[in-house]
Amino acid sequence: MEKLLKTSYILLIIPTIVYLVLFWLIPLVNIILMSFTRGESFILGQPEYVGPQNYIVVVRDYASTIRNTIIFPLSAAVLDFILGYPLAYLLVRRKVLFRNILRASLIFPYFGDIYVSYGLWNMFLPGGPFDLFFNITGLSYRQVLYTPYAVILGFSIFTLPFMVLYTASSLSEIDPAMEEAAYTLGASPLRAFYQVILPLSAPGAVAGFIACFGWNLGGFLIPLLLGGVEASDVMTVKIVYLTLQLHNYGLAATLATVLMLMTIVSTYLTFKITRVAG
Amino acid sequence: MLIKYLYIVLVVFFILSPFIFILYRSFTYRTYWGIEFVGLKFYSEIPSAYWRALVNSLIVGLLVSLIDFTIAFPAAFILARYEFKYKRILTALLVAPMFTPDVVAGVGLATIYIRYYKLYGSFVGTLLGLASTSYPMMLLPLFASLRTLDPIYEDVARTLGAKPYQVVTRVVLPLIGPGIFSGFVLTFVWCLNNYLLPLFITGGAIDLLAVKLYSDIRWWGLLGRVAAEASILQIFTFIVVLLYLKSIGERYKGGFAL
Repeated sequence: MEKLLKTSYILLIIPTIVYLVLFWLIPLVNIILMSFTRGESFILGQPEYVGPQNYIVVVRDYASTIRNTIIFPLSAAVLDFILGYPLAYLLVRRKVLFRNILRASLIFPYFGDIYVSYGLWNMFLPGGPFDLFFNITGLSYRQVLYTPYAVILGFSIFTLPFMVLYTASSLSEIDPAMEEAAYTLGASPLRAFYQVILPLSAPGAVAGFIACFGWNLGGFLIPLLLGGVEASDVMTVKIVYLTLQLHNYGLAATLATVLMLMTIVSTYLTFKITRVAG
Repeated sequence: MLIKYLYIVLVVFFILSPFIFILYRSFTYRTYWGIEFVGLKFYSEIPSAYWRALVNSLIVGLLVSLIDFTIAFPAAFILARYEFKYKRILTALLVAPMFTPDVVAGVGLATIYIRYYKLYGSFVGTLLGLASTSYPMMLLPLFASLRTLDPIYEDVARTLGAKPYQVVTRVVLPLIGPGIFSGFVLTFVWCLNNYLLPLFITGGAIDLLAVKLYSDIRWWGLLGRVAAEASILQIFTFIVVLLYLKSIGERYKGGFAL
């Protein structure tokens, strides 16, 4: 009886699973199917299967797109690590005033890349706060805006909270006594950091690194606004262009499949590492 | 000490600078001779269509949060209370939609909406589509608060003769109230700011604020009016997030804040 009751409770999860299948799994499966068809034919109901032709086109014509899609988020993740790790350490180990405002500002970029991209774009245009910097260094704003550097900067602002979050959760699990023990045994602060804190917090930092990478794979408006013509050559922008403007859904689905695979791999790694950590 | 605060201020400024600059842009106008303060001029220039879209977005956001709750609560409850086969894989699958890029979800949903479900451009389709990538944000806080809630309360209610639905409505739901609120805030704010998914699935039939803002930024990005529009949405988001952080305890956030 008890067992039967338990089973019947577990069955309550079925509506959620049905929803997940209908609105998440079936769309993804359809994208994969669509990646083997020509143009709009799949979406209009008469799919013309063309085999791996779309994949050949992607490898031939979109190699730079795939390269950029990997390099931009990767560079942003490195920048995030450099900026975010010390911040996470300060948040966990030291008393900080205005903690709530600090946290709110950290959670803020979660809710959209609209403001990050629009704000940065305005800042880099003539008349923005970077005018002084450009005047001093003698650069033109065009040497920063509409280049990969601007895109990477935007990406890193967008995902800095993830890095801080993951690193902080991993740091807060380290017993402060470990650090003190290192000091008592005569280690310099630098040595204590390298040999004790960094290895112990590595899983969180790596998970944060991959999470930053994974979230930026889906970034759309940041490369579009900050990347101009050349540096906006990333997969999300191409997919939107191919679907909404060119109606070449077959090719777009191929790119989407590749993007999805990249996201799955990075998400899987994040899960795997955080599970090992705790 | 000083270096510590200097560093924190610098990083926070790094994060917030785009947000602050949009706000600054919405109050000032740059002429050839310098910067002119124009007060609320740009705010008064916002067209009425924008305000209608704001109302639409608020309604859609609330309804999507409700759908998210309906989808996520049974799953969160069962994942937190029962052990069964393949639970790990199921948990990973249930959380996975959050990590799907909006572009991929958008193309996929548009395809099946046009081909099979006939929901393209419909209100219901928009709601269900938005819910599909946002419900993990409801699931995680609910799961976190259910897991830390001692099952003894439910057992007591059951021994006192409460029916299963009474246990849920009178004991469990009130006790995890903060977790529910947490999930509602997260999904609501997320919906309000999502432009990419509606771009694919509404077919232009429903005006949503974020979509309008997106197209305004693309075509009229240099106008002060657009900065004012963006400022309104981002100030609203910031206030909601700040209130949320102030009012909710650590254990209800489901890994969503420090």
